[in-house]
Amino acid sequence: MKNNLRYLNALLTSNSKELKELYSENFPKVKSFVLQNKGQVADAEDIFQKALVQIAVRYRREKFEITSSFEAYLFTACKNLWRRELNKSKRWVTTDSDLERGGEEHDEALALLEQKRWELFGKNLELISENCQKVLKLFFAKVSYEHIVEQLNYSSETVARQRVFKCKAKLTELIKNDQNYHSLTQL
Amino acid sequence: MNNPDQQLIEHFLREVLSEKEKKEFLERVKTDHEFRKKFLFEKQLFESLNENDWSFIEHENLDEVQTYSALFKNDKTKELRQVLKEVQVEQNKPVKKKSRQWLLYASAAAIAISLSVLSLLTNKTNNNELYANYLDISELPSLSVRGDNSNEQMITVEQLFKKKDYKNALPLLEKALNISERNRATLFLYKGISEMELKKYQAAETTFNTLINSELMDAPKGYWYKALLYLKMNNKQKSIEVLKEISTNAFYNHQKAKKLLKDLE
Repeated sequence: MKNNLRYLNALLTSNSKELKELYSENFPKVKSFVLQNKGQVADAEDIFQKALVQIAVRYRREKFEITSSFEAYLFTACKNLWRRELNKSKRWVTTDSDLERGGEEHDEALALLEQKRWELFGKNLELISENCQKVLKLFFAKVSYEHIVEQLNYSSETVARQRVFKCKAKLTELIKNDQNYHSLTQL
Repeated sequence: MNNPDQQLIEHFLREVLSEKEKKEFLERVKTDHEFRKKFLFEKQLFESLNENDWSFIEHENLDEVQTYSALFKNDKTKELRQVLKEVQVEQNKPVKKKSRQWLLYASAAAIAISLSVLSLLTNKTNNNELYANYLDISELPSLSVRGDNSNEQMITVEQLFKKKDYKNALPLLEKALNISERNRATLFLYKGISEMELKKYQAAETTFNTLINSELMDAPKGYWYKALLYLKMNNKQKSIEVLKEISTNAFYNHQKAKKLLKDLE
């Protein structure tokens, strides 16, 4: 965690010497992730810059805590921005004209809030038992009950369904009791 | 929320509703406020916690969005963007060679030797890095067929392969190739890649060649993975030859092959 404050400060003060170091230490990993997932180098560069700006803007507003190393957090932020790009075509409500009207910064603000919501869900998922996490991850990944039974050695599909139901209820309860729930899930 | 509603939402999100049911579902979401609220929460859960998905914001005109939007536009952020752009441009510049005549004269022989060793090493790293960047197992077709009960074995193989557990996947793939008439090209690819990742280079070469020489529709895919194999073996010349063949004949991944050729030059 030694670099956390150092890099956050570099972002707040736009310190180019420190940012060069941050770039050479972290960009290669992001680049290979994007290249391995249907992207080009230019996409990786774009994502990397956006993630850094996102962290800076968010930190300026709320001084949020990064519980992992800065490097790990940055990599996750980049991965999420890339997931977001890949899923943009599936987007429901927003139309192109909305994006045009809002401009790039509007879209960046949405991405930031979506990242916060993702963290809220992820943080609470980690609070439930390991077994519950396993079954829910398969469930959300749309794995059929038949295969859930097989993979987790349940005795029947009914047992698997009950397990999913209970685990999801527990997770929902935790999320709804989280102090940030209202501001983030009404979005 | 009552149980049937919960189940209905779950079925919608897990994509098991028929077209007609889907239509009815969406109609209800529009008109039934309480149902919509529950649905949106479940949707957020599903999309956030599925690694291949992403949960987008539905209501965009809230104060919070406006506040952040303004922060992304302000001068401090503009300054940061500018600096980041400069840093990136600088990082992309090729490293300049230092021309210090006296140093050249002083130990020409020693430098020549160390440079050749160094270039061998960097070459190896570069080739390995390119291999890692270009090998994308997610672009391979799936081995399992929806609705087919006889393919449990295939599902297991695919799962092992996707988890990169090549050691355990390989014997199952060999077995499958001995008995299966279906999906043979894909099976060859899975097998060759497993061998390549396990550093069984000769075996991998044989597998890809068998595929290339077969009558299977997907036979040309073998060329692409053979090019990657040579790259991993650090045999740049052979890799380039295969890539040129892919590019000239517009075989599978010919655009990528062109790009990789450029990277190798």
